[in-house]
Amino acid sequence: MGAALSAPAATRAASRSRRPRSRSLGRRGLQVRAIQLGLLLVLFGGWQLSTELGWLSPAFTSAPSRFIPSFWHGLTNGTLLPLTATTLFETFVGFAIAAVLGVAAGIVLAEFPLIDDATRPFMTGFNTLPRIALAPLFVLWFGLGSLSRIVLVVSLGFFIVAINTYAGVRSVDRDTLLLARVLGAGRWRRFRTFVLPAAVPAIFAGLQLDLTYAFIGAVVGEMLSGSQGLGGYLAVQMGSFDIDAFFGGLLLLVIVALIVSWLVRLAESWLLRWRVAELHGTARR
Amino acid sequence: MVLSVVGVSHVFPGAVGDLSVLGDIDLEVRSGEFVAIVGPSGCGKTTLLNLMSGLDHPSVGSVELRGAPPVAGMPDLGYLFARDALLPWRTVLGNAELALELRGVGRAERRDAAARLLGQVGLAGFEDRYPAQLSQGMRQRVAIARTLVAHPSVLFLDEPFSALDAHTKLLLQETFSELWGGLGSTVVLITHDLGEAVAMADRVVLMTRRPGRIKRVVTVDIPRPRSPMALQDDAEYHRVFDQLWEELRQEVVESAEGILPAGSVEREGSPLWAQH
Ligand SMILES: Nc1ncnc2c1ncn2[C@@H]1O[C@H](COP(=O)(O)OP(=O)(O)O)[C@@H](O)[C@H]1O
Ligand SMILES: [Mg+2]
Repeated sequence: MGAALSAPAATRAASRSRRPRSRSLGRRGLQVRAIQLGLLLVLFGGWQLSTELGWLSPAFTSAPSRFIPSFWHGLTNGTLLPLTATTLFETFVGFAIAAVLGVAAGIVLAEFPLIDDATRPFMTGFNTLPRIALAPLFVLWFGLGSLSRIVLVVSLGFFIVAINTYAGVRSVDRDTLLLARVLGAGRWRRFRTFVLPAAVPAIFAGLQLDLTYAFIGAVVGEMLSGSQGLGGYLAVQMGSFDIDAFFGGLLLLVIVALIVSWLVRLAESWLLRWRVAELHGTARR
Repeated sequence: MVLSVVGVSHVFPGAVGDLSVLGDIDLEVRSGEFVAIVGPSGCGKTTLLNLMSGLDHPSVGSVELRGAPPVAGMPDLGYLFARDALLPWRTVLGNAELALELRGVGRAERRDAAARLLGQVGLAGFEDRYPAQLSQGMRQRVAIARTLVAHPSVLFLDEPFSALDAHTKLLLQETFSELWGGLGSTVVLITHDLGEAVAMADRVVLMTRRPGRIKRVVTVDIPRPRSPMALQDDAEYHRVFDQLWEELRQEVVESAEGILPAGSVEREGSPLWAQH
């Protein structure tokens, strides 16, 4: 699921530039869907076939014929959906807090060099800490409930967003700053009209990474801290060696991640309309 | 006098040694006058324009704009550079209205004004495009509209047409001359292109190689309104051009000495730098 969510914004924007703009499924869109379906069939078919031929043991790798029914059963009997809701709640709350704090910190650091220089060793130091390894500590401090996972998620996402925002604000074109100056823009105007919009693509790339890590952080936090959420479910199934249920849970994880990444992409293509034009092969600079 | 430059020299301090860029410049610009400053590349033209427009302050001497030192960003100053500096996230209209927006002009009013000016630079119908969807020439037309929309009374142009191909350049010089005819603002144009200077200006100031000094000032008596495109047959245009060309050539050759192999730039009358 990491790959689906974490492809950097730039890479995806570039690949989209080769695609026709229209939202409706054109000829090209149908081809893409057909190939995707084919790949899915090859993956699951190969997996199933390898199991049937005895190359893979279902005790270790389950098999589509086993985990898909388990997944479906979990969905329909109402166990999986509340778990998903818990995980998504932690993901989104942690994501949002990290986003707000990270954007604010990135802007302050980029705009005020004194604060930047003074806090640099602290930022670098905290960013180097392996946050996932701190999960047990967060459980000790904040208990077994969602709060400890939200803290973990925030601690992961904050630096990602802050660093991307900082880079975005710092990367503003010199010509743009000169323009702000000759147009007589004051400090706040300069920031709002010239600097911040230029930083939006980088901030957005940071937010997308933040979301990926928020999801990973929530699931891993749940796995380490008990029985709540999708992560807790995975841990429990693994503990009881129910490999089919474990893979069923993974399948749900992947599906949730794909839906979230699709929503992010919609938001991106609206927010960064001008970039679509820029990457569409008509740029002449 | 709108602008007066008195005894200005400029030095850029550097780690390996100071770089003396301008030497003892005196220049006065009258209200409504179009002055072009020509000189070899690197002679200090941009530096001089920056000093005149308040983007930088002279090491020695003084610059006065209507009796006070100029301050960059003053509302009645307009700037146009070689690079258009369009904001890629704003539409053509959004870029053209920028100056008025910063001045707090209401949305409807500034959009009207920007749209009108875009029409005048030949971009009617392109208001909702993004800069990436435009050709280089169209982008520079947007930049012209962005500069003129606020009706600046003094315009500072630094090689505004030099990033364009020869034909586009002529078309934009034509458009700019037409618009300027209706504005009456004072213009200081920096260029390395002597043809452009003679075609557009009332007075051409020729600078020496670095450290740039004023070598010659020539008045161009071509009646207005002028059409830069139609001047190819104008006797006065050729007279002024030829008068200045040899002197500019010398400066260019001498500033290139040590860069180019000996003799390679000495071909008499070679139109290497002329776009004429
Ligand atoms: N900010 C600066 N610091 C140091 N040297 C500079 C600076 N700006 C320009 N120069 C130098 O001053 C000289 C004149 O530059 P410039 O005024 O841009 O020339 P022109 O516009 O005539 O080509 C060049 O040698 C350039 O390298
Ligand atoms: Mg220059």
